[in-house]
Amino acid sequence: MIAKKPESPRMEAVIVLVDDDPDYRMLVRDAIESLNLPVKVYECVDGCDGIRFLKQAGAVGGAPRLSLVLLDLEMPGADGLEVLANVRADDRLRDLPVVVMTGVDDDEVQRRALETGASSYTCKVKDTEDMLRRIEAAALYWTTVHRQLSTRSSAA
Amino acid sequence: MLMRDQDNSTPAVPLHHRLQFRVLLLVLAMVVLTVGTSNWMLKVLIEKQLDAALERETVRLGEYLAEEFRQALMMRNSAAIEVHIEAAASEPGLAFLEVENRLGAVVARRINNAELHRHFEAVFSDEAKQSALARSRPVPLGWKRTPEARILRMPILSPSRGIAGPDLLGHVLFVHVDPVHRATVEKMRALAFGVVLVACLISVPLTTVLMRRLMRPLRRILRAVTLLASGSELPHLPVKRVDELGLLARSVAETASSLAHARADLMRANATLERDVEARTAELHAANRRLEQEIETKNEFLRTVSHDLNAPLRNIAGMTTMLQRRFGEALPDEVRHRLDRIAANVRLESSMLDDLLELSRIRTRPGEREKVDLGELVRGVVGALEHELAERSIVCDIAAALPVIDVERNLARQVFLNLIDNAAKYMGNRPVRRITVSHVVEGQWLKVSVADTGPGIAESDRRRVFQVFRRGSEAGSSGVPGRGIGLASVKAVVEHWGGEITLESVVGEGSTFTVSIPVGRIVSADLGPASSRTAA
Repeated sequence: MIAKKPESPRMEAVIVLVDDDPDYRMLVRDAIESLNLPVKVYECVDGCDGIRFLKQAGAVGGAPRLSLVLLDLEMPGADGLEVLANVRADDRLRDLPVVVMTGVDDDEVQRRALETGASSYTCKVKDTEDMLRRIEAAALYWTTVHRQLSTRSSAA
Repeated sequence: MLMRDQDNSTPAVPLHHRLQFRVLLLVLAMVVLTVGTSNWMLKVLIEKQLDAALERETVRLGEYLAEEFRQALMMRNSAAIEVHIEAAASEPGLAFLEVENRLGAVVARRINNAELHRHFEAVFSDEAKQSALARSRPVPLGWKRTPEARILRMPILSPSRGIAGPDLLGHVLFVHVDPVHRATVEKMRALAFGVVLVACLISVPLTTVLMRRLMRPLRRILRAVTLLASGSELPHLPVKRVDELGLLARSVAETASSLAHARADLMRANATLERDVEARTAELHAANRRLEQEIETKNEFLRTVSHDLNAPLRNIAGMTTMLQRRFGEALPDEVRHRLDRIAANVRLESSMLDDLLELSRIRTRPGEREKVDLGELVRGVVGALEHELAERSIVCDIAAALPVIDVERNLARQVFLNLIDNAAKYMGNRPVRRITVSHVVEGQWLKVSVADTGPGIAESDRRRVFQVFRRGSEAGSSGVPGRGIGLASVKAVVEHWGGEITLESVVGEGSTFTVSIPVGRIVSADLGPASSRTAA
């Protein structure tokens, strides 16, 4: 229902997808697009690219307005935790929801990710239907939360 | 007198047990005994001689006195008697003198020593005079203060006249004392005492000195022997002596030197051994480190491979799903069917990778060790498999008193879940369908067995069943679902515990998997060996 509401470009949500696997990026994009949300998906091909893009977007301020980061952990160069640490260290990006998505199903890694500041930790599970549902749920939840927060803050 | 032990290193011996003291006592006793005895014998001999001389003299005096008074008594001239008495009284050694007439009445008396006379009057009655003194021989007066006093009653006879023999005119009774005799005896006694004393005085220092000359080397040897055990420097030993002490010293010195050699050899051997042990330990440590590194590398590799192999599979699966989702209805059946097959194959591959990952985790991240009640755990596993067991009408016998062991709960569960699940899966259509879990302690091992009454495993398959993705040749064709990871993971877990898993099987009768764990893992157990099997 939210999707059907005509949105101004300013209100469009932006999801940043940081993952070195192009196929997986394609899958996530497909999954999010299947939700028909008023969102734009930006893809970063590795950790360094992710950090660069996020800093730049944070510096610009207004548009594009970032609402969610989907972050892979195991990447060449800067890994997911490093990206996460950079996001949390930046004043303008501090409140940005970051969902860690990884193939590593490991309590220790999960603990470290949450300690570094991940908003949630999602596994790239075997069952593809399940995995797609998880991506969709995460995207839906966090963009909604973000939109409501920003609506409230702009109203105030 | 006795020399005290100067060095304190020799063990203290009580004074009365010391050799020196004992020898001194012995020597003193010997000296006193021999000198004393000889002196006493000498004294007895001399006294006898003196007594005999005194008696002879007494008799001579008696004969002289009798001669003196004979004339006067024959004349019955008392004045003459008085004159003679006066003359006789001056005789030296005469204590007192009585002259009796023929009837025994005293006609004249002279007393030089009143004490002796009083004693005589008290001791000798008239009868005694008659009996004891009748034989005209000198008799001891028996007074302690003058033991040498002799009393004699000498008859005075008239000169012989024909066959009738001499007439008895009377008696002269006197006590004769010899002061020289007494002095001589006393001198001798003093002399004897003096000789004994001198002998003692000479023998004590002499013995002490002699004993010291013997004891000093002996003590040194004794100290050396005491020091032998501790291996410290020995004192100088009297090895040059030619007597037995020298012999002893030499043999002690020899023993000491051979002991020192042996000790040195031992220390050298010890040092070598220590060096060897250190070297071996270092080698062992190095080998261990290498092995640990290898294991770690292998596990890391396994983990990475499993993970990296998963990513493309996940993508394939994702794409397939996405294709089906988006274009499902538009796709021809043939394409849809192939997409399904792709998805199924990906799922299979993916689960095999999961198993590999699981297997590598047993070593790299086994979990927390805790006290696991094996009985409870096995009953839990059987409970979880209840449905399958009931479906196949399989009876489970679990020993009542399984022990509590110190292991990782998740791994223990994995072991028994796999073993029981396997036993159930491969049971087939057997007439008796039973799974028995029991335990026994044998030496250093706690052996927990899972026995089934299944078809058994062929000899040729028994090693394969523990390998990853290998199943018994029967299993593959028997239509039993399974990927062949279970027993491999059981083996990995049991080996991780420092134990081993063994399989005994008789084709057509059943199989028994035995998990052997070091007994050190047992926390507590009601180990009645006889009651360890409740299921017959």
